Amino acid sequence: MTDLPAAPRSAEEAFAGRRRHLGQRIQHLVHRHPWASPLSILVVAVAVFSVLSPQFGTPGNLSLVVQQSAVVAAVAAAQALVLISGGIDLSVGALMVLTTLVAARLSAEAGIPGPLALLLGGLLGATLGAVNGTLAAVFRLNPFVVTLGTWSVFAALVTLVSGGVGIDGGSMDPFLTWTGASIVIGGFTITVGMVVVAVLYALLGYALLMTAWGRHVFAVGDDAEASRLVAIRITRVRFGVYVVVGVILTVAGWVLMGRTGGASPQTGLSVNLDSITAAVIGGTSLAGGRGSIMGAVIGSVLVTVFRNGLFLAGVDVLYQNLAVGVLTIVAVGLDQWIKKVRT
Amino acid sequence: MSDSPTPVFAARGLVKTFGRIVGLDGADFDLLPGEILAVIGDNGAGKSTLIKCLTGAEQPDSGRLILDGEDVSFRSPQDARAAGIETVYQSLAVAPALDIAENLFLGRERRIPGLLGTITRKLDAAGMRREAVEKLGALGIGTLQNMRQTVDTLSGGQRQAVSIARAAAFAERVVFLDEPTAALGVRESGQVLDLIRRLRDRGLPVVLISHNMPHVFDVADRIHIQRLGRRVAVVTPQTHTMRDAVAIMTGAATA
Amino acid sequence: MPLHPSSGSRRLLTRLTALACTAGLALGLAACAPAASDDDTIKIALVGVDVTNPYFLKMSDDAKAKAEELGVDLTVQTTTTAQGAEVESQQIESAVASGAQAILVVPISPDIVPAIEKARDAGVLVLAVDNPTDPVDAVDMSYITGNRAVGTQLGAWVAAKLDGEKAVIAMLDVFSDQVFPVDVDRDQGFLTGMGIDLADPGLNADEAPDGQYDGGDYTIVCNQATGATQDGGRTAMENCLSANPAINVVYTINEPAAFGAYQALEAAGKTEGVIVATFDGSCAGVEAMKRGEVTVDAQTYPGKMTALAIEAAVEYIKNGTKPSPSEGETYFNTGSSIVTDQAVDGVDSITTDEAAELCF
Repeated sequence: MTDLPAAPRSAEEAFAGRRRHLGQRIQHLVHRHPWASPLSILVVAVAVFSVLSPQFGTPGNLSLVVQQSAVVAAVAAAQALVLISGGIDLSVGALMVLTTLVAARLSAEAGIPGPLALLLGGLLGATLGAVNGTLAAVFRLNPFVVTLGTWSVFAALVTLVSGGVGIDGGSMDPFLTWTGASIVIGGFTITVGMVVVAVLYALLGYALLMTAWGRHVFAVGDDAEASRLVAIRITRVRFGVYVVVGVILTVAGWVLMGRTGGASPQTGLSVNLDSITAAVIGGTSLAGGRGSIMGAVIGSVLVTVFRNGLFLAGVDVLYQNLAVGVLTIVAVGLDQWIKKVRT
Repeated sequence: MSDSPTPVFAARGLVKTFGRIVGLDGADFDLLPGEILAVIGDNGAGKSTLIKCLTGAEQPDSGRLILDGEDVSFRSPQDARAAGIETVYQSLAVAPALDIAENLFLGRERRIPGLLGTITRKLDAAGMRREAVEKLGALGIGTLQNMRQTVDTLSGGQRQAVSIARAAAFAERVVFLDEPTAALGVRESGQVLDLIRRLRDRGLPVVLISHNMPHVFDVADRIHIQRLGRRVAVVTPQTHTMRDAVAIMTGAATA
Repeated sequence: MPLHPSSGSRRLLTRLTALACTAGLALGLAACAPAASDDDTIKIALVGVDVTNPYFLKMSDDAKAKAEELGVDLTVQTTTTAQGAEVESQQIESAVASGAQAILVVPISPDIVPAIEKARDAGVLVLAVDNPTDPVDAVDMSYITGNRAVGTQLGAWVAAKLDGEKAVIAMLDVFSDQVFPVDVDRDQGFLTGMGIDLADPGLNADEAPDGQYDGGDYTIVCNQATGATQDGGRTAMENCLSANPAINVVYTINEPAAFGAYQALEAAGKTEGVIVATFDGSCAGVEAMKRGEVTVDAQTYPGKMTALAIEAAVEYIKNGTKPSPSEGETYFNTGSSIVTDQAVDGVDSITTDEAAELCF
């Protein structure tokens, strides 16, 4: 006959001493810090690709990868924000191009100084975001459908404003393409655009994690009804998110102008899908209430790392697309697994 | 019923109609200090409407609400909350992806003190967690230790405990509980009922809406019986049986 | 128990208002559309132009000018490459339904051929512009640049310019995962002109990475997709440079890609001695050539394509004269010129000044 079990400990002791096996520990870690899994995949990918191709790990190439993902990273951060609040914004590409095109025109044709032109662009971005917010948050129309519609409207406005022609960087205030300027430190090229995105991420991350507003954004996306019952003004929160997104997109467009050396009506209109992919890979849930801005940035870098790394390793483009697809599926699967966390 | 002690919260002659449907037909209500008052009634008796009028979710067409001897009116649940009345809804109103401390302070987050807090708007997350531990401890909820645990990992009873703790933490005058044991098993219901008793023992009067007669008779000091939009009786577990109460609820008997 | 009624009906009201506004807007826009023309005016539709690209914008503008000159009622429909065959087929169908007697189409993929067949069955004249359909005779006539021929000229120029030097080549195409006629014709034409062996003349990126061209050795470093945009060109060039920094020949599908490629070269400090070859010959491109950013450019005449096509359509509708191709070809060659300020023997070219007169 076995011994009787030891006298029951207090609840605190029992909780503190409980053992969780590795799977549960990982589940918990990722639940709390959604960016942990994409970060670890990123580290592994960089290591693997560096081994496969010596050119991959060079500071020059790594800088390129970061530069190439900067714009998408900024858009993905905005998209993550909307997703966390329980919405979605498919108009991001057109909104971004429209605001920067207007800023470029103001500078090139009306001679308005660069910073002011960008500010006005930001105001326009906020206004266009407010349009999305009104339709999605105030009128409660389905954000997926509604922002699909506003994408078309904004894209049409892009053609109207630009006449189909881009504005060369040389004819506008250099401030507007300043994001393309760079310095080289120890073989790494760091562009102003990269710094801008880093600052953007820091501000957004702070707001989301350290302020009441941030918690409300998570709460509204997680359980809108519960939020309403605790007197959170869900319409205001959602509306505000779309407006903030509009402003972030203007900044993203500024980074894009630095990269292309001008404002072009062609580039960036279809960044929507990339931004969603990056956000999801980065641990943001499509259902709302859970996500990470840092994860979105890591997600976009990860996608670019895959494409760049596979190309340098001589792998066919077909497999690059496959790899990104698998990444996305794994990310979504991980998202589902995390939801099943148990103590 | 004696008129003293003065009720903490009372209502007289509440009337509420929805078009042709009569929700409340001159309903009265009295909540005495330091008691657990159960509100029972069949479906359609006006229980929910009464509670909604008392907590600001609805505005009565006519009648008076009297809080601590003074007339009040609530245009929204926020008004009721500002007056010290907290409600624990049947849906619990907790955000599953947020942790216990975040849920406890949801909508009432605390910033770091002083000017720094006002400018940077930074939340005092550690402080909120400490307070959360204290508040849960004070209510004797020992099974929840980690304030960073997200609510979706908790059992139904534990979530109920968090929701009740939230109401208790901020209520100054009254706590309303809407069907708190409805979704719980035997053991967890027992724990929640204990929790309700502890609230009362700390001096906070509790209004308990429930369909569950055994629970009502287990924990209530007085029982308000609602029927056809009015209060038809107030009984106690000592003076009446469950059968009696059900009979009054359905109109088969009068008080 | 009935819930509070006003929130539900308020929501309904806002939805109805939103719907009413949208309906009103749509009706208003429809009312603003030009009045239906009388029965005598010839109706022509131009389908598939992506007017965010200056090339197609020129096509569209010249088409409108010619239509006005001839008193023709012209409607223009935009399609982006991303929208694809599905959208373009629908546009062809709606053009037929609206009573167009001729349709000018920029074929986006072979999948639009069924829609074209239906249009021709309904008695509508269908003309391809910019690039051919697959098969070429799916339309009544094509007004296109002989992309393969001009690509060959471009390649020949580059080979002559290199004069035996080793060619380290970057190929910047439109797509890397689709077969698109313009993409293939220009790419394969260019390589033919250089004297490089094409494994399959109908496919890009299948050539041997090392070998001989007319005059010396070559290495093809990469075949990257640019999406025919500037940003795409830059990313593609950056990747190619990472793979092999010694690139001295850059083939680009069009000017936006070339501009992007040049930016990458500049950022990497590698502009010395690099030949940047491209197509389009727009005024922006000519200026880039004057600045030394683009070395050689095959100028094409998109405006001519639509203008000539409209003229031919009007001839057919009025007099029944079928449109005819260029001599010895299955299509009408709207012509092209090699533009460069560094003329080489054996390849005809015009200078940037001359090109500036003709550019769009």
